[in-house]
Amino acid sequence: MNTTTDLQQRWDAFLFKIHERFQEILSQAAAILPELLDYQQFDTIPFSNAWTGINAQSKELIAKIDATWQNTVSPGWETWRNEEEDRLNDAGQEMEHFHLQFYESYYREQEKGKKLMLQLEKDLRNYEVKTFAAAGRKLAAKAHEVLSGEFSCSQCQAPLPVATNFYRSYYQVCQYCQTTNTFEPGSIARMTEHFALDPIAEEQALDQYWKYWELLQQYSAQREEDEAAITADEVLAAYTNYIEVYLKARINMIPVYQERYEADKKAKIAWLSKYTLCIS
Amino acid sequence: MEQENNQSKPPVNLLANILGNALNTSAQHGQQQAGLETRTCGSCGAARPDGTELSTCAYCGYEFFPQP
Repeated sequence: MNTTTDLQQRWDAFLFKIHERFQEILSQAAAILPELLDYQQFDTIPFSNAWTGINAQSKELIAKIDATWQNTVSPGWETWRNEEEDRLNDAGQEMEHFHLQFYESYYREQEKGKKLMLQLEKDLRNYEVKTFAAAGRKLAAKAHEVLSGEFSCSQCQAPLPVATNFYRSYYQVCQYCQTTNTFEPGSIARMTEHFALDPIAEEQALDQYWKYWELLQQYSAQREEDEAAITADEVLAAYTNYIEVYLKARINMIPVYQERYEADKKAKIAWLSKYTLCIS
Repeated sequence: MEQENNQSKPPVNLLANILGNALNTSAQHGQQQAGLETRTCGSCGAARPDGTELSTCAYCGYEFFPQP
């Protein structure tokens, strides 16, 4: 027969094991992922594919917490409760006190699992943003090296310097022969905008992101019948703060993004208001 | 003895399959190098000067995109 101590100890050991395995996955990934870009000559596709696998494996591990609670731990507690109820019933004792104690322990144990799930999700997100940002900086440095090279007009061979912080194709006129050249920045520079820009900006806005995220969790956990401790406006303000830092970090890296700053900000805020907070 | 065996056990590589799959299933694309190029007129071979339009050659009037 299980006792509450048995149930608690087994649950604690399980949660510890999950946490340990999760850290093991991330530390192994940390040793290998940064090398993958160099090894693949700055091709970002194997890196992204490897991350997809690591991310899936980590999320599977996180999901095991809830599944194990639902399928094994919670039924174990319920069996013990039923046995105790039968015993108290046979002895003709009242159950109110037992139920109070039981549900206090039950929800405390359930909360342990939920807390670990949230913590691991946060760790995974932090890890993803930081790992991609580190790889992105490596790629951006290589792109800068490529774009700082010597380029010359394809007609008269006069030197024709190109922008080092613009990663798309554009026309560049030769000042000597007035020919319109088309500049192709190459795969590495093009990938910088697609692969590096977002995580580098996310990394700079990470503190603001977690402030917003915490508020959103609290806001979502509120019950409709209770007075709201966190309002939608507070969540929106935290989100706006985060998105401003994020969008400005993008502009620091690629100045042309300044042109769409207001439009991007407005669109992101509208999306949050409509689909997450449901206030407009 | 058991403890010794545990100590000498190599760490499990949790990601071996993931990395192997990522490398084996990623399509290998040739890298495009950075560079400048000029499109020239198919008729007279002139390059496009600054400030001219894209539809006709500024030198010989050749239409790059003739009307069907």
